[in-house]
Amino acid sequence: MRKYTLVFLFFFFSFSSLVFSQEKYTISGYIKDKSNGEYLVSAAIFIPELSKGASTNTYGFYSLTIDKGTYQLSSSFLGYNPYSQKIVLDKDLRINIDLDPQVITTEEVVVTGEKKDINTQGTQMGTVEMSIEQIKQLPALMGEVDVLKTIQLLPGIKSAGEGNSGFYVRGGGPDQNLILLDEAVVYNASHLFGFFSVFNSDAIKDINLIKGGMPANYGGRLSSVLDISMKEGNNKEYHLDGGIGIISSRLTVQGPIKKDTSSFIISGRRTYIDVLTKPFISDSSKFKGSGYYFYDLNTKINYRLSDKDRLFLSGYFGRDVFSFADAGSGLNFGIDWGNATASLRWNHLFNDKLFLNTSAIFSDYNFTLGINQNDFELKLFSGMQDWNGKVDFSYYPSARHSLKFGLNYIFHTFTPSNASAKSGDVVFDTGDIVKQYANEGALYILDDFDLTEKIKINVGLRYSLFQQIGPFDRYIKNELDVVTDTIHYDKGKQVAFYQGLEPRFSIRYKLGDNTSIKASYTQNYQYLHLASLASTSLPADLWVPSSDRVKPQFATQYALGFFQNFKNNMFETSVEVYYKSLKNLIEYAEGAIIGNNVNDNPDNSFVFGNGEAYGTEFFVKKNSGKFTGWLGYTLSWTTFQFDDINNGDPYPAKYDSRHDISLVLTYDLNKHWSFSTVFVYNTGNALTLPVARYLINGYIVNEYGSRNSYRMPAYHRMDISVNYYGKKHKRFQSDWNFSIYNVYNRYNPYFIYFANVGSLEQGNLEISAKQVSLFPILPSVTWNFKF
Amino acid sequence: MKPLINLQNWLEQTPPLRRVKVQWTFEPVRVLLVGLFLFLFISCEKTITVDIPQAETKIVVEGYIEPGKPAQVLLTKSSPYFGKVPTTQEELLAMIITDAKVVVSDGITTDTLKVTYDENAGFFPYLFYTGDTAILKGVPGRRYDLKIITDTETLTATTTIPALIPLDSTWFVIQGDGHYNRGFCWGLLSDPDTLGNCYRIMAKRLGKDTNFIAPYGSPFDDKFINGKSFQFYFSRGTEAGSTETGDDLYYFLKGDTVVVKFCTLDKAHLDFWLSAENDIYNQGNPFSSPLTLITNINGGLGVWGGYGATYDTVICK
Repeated sequence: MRKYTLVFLFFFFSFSSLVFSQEKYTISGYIKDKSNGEYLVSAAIFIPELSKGASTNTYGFYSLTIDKGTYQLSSSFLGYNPYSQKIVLDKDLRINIDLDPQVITTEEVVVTGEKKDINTQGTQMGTVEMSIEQIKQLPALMGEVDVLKTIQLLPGIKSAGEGNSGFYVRGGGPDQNLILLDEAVVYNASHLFGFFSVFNSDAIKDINLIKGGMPANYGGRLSSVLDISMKEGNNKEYHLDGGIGIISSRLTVQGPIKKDTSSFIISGRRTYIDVLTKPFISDSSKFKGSGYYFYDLNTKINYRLSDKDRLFLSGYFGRDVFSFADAGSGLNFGIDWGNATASLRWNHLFNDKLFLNTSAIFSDYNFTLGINQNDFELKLFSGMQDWNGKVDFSYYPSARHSLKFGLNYIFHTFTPSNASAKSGDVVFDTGDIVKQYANEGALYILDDFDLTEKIKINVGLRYSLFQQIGPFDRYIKNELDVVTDTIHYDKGKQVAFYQGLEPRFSIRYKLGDNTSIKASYTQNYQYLHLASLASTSLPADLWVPSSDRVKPQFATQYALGFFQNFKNNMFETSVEVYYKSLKNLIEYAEGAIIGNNVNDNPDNSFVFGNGEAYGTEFFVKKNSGKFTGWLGYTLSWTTFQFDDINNGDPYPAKYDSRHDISLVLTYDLNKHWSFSTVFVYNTGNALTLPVARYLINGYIVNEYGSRNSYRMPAYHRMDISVNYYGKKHKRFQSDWNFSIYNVYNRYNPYFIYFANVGSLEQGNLEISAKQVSLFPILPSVTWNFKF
Repeated sequence: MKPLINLQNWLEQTPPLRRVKVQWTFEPVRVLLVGLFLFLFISCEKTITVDIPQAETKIVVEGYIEPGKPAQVLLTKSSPYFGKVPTTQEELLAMIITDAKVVVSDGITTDTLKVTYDENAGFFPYLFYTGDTAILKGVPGRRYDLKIITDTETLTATTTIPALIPLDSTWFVIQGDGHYNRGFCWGLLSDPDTLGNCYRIMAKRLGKDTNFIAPYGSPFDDKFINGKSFQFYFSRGTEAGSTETGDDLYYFLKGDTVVVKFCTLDKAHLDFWLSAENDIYNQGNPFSSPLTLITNINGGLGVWGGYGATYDTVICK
C-alpha cells in the first residue's frame, strides 16, 4: 500500500507544477573551468533576488526557469572565483559560464554570500562530493594518492582492513557498492589485493559518493554509489603532467584536438617494484623471472558537435600481473587480473529544459591463473562482462522542479570458475567452459521539487527486472550432496526471472537559513552477488547472478538527519541516524570448498540469510580558511542471521565496527607549504576463535567459539604529509609530497592466527596466538610536475 | 603451506590419469595469494595473548571398526585452547578417560569394551578401549551402535561398514623431478555405478612406520568418477607433529615395502575426515573459514567410523 501512496504523491506533484505556471523563461547553459575548458560538476548557479538556484549535472549543464525580470545571476564553485552578471530575462537565455580557478594565496579564501549551501538546502542525504585537489594534499600510503582510501575517512564508511581498498557502507558488503567510472561499472576496484585502488588520481575530475537515500536514477546495488568522472582533457592548450613516486610513476598528456571544440587526455601509471628488485635477484637465483607489477591507462576524448550535441568516448584498462618462476622444479605460474571499461556517451539538448544523455558502455573483469611445469599446463579463470545501454533524460520544467527519467539495459556474461588443462598434446577433460548469461533492465523516474519554501522533496520510483537465461545446466543434489538430477536449459531459455519496484523518497525541511532536517526512505534490489570465502576481498572472488536458487538481495533503508552550517558555511555539521534491513544475503555454507563446474553449480554451496544494520554518524567539516578538514564519528551495529550458520543464532558481521573515528586536517601555511594529517581509529574486526582443542589421530584440532564473537585489537594510525609547491614558472610547475604513514609505528593487526608446533607425543607441543601486522612506519616522497 | 602439496600432485599427474575428469578448485589460489602477501610486503609477526572465553570440557571419541577386527575406541577430553599442554605422564593421563562404560552393538550382539595399551594400534596415546573378537567383530554391510556412559554423561553414535571395494591393482612409479629412486604409489579403482561411494586411503612402510598414515587428500568420494575405472596415485603422508624435511618428503623410495589400506566409509564418516583435513591443513591460513569438525557423536566430539578396509602390498622397485 505504501508503494502506491508514493507513486500517487509523485504524480500529484509532477502535475501541480503545470497548474501554477505563469510567464516564465529559462536560463540554461554549461559551467566550465576557464583555464582548461573542463566542465564543472555540481557548480552552483544562483539568483539572490529570488533565493533560487540550481546546480550543474554530471556534464556541467544547468537549467533554471524563473519569472520574467531583471536579476543578478551568480555562480560559484569551491576553489573558483565567484562569478556574477546582470541579466534581463525577457526571453530564454543560454549563458555559458567560465569560472576562474582560485590561485592559492596566503590570504584567507573569501567565501561569497551567494554560495549555495548544498549541505543544508538539498534533499540529498549521506552524499559527499570531493575534489581531487583536496585528496591530493592528504598523506598517502607509499605516496600513491588513493580516492578509495580517502572516502573511507568519512563517517559511515568503513575500511575493509589495513591497506584494503574494499569498503563497507553502513553495514553493506563490498559487493553492494556501485562503483562507476564514467558510468561504467568497475567490478574490482583494487590493485595488489586491495592495497591500492585502480583510480589514477591524475585522470580523475570528480568523486561523488552516495551512502544513503540513493536517488532512483541509480540502482542495481544495495548500499552505495561511488560515481567517478574522468577528466575530459584541456581544450585550450597542451599539457604534460606526471609524477614520480617510490613505487610508481604517472604521466598524463592532454590537449585540444580542435581548440574549444574537442580535446583528449591519456593518463598512465605503472609500478616498478619488479624493475627495482630485479638487480637484487641474481641470474643464478632460483626465482629469477618472478615479479609483480600493475599498470593502468585512462583515456578520454570529447567532441562538441554543436551547441546542442556533445560526444564523449572514454576508456580504462588496467591489470595486475604476478609471475613466479622456480628454476629448481621447473614450475612457473602467473596470476593476471584486471578491468577494462569503455563508455561512449552522447549528450543532446532538445531545448533549454530537456537534456538527454545516451550511453553505450562495456565493462569487463577477469582473473586468470596459469601454471605450467614441464609439459603440464593448467589454466584457471573467472570473470564478468557487461554490455550496457542507458538513456537518461533531465527535465527542468520550472525552478521548483527538476525531473529525471530514463531506462537502462545490461547484458551480463558471468564466467564463474573454469579450467583448462593439458599435458603435452593431450588435453584434459575439464568439463565445458561454463558461462552464465543474464538480462537486467530498469526504468526510473524521479522529481526533485520544492513543495513550499521550507519543504523540498525528492521522490522517485525505479522498476527493475532480471532474467537469467540459458544455456545453463542446473545440478540438483540431495542432502548427501549427491547429484540426483540435471535440468538443461537451452540457449535463450529463461532460467529465473525477478522483478521489483524500488521506491525512493527523501524530504528536507528547512528550519532556518542554515539549518535543516532531512529524512529518507529507499528500497533497492541487487541481482548480482559476490561470493567470498575469505575475510578480505580477493581478486579470485566470484561474481554470480541471481538464479533459480539465489534470490535477489533486497535492502530497505530509513535515515534521518540534522544539518547545520555555521559562519557563512565555513563549518558544516551533521548528525544522521540510519536503519537498514538486508534480505537474501549469501555466504558459503560452513565448511564449503569453493565449487567447480564439473557436475555442480557454484551457487549450490551457498546458504542464505538476512542482516540488519543501524547506527549514527556525526560529521563536522571546515571548508575554508587556513585550516580545513573534518572530524567524523560513527557508532554502528551490523548483525547477520543465517539459518545454516552459527546454529541459526544472529552474529556480528565481520566488518561490524562499534566505533569509527577519523580526523583529517590540512593547514595551508603559504603558497609554498601545506601540512596535512590523518588520524583513524576503529574497533577491531570481528573474528571467530578456537575456544578449545582436542586430539584427532595425534593432530591438534580446534573447537571454535560462536561466529565472530571475538574482536581483534582496535585499529588506529596517524599519518602526516607536507606539500611543497615550487615556484610557478610560465610553462612549468612542480610540487613535492612527503608522507609518513603510521607515524607512531602502531602494529595494527592484519590477521591473527593460532599455531601449534611440535607434538604431544614428543612432549614438545606449543600453542600460541600470533598477530601479523603489515605496515610499520613508512615514509615516502612523490614529485609531481606539470608542463 | 601444506595445501600446496595438493597442487603439486596435480602438476605431476602423468598420462594414465587423462581418462579421469580433472578435479580442481580455487582453493590453491587462495594459498598462493597468502604467499604473495608475505612475498611482497614488509610484514611483521608477534606473539600475542588472547583472552579466550572458557569453554566447557567435552568428551572426544575416536573409534573405529573394520572387518574381522574388534572395535577400538579412544576417549579423551577437550581442553581450553590455552590450557596447559600435558608434558608429564600424569597430565597426559588426566586427559584420557579410562573409567567409562563403552558398549558396541551390531543389533544382535553387544560387546563391552575393555581398556588396553598397544603401541602398534595406531592410536596415540595408545591407551584405549578394545573389544573381543570372539564376541563381536566387524562385518561388511553391518551397522554398529556405540554407547559410552561416564559418571555424568551418555554419548551415542552409529556407523556402518560399507561393502568392500578393493583396488584392482596397486603399483609404484618413479616420479619426481629427475630423481631415479623416488616416486608415488598408484592404484586402479573401479567405482561401482551407484553414486555416493566414499573412500579413504592410508599407507604404511614396513620397517619404517608404526601406523597407517593418510596422505593429504585421503578422503574422497565418487562425485567426479562415478562408475569409472580409473588410475590414481597418492603421495606419502606424514604423522602429526612430524618434523621431517628434505627432498624425500612425501615420496616413497625405491626399496620400500608399502602396505596400502584402502577403505570404503559412509558419508558421515567421510564428512568428518574432510572437515578434519580442512582444519589440520588450514591452521594459520587467514583466508580459510574456521569450522569445528563435523561429528557423528551425539553429545560429544570426534568420530565413530566403520572402515571397509582392504589391504594390498606394493614393493617399490
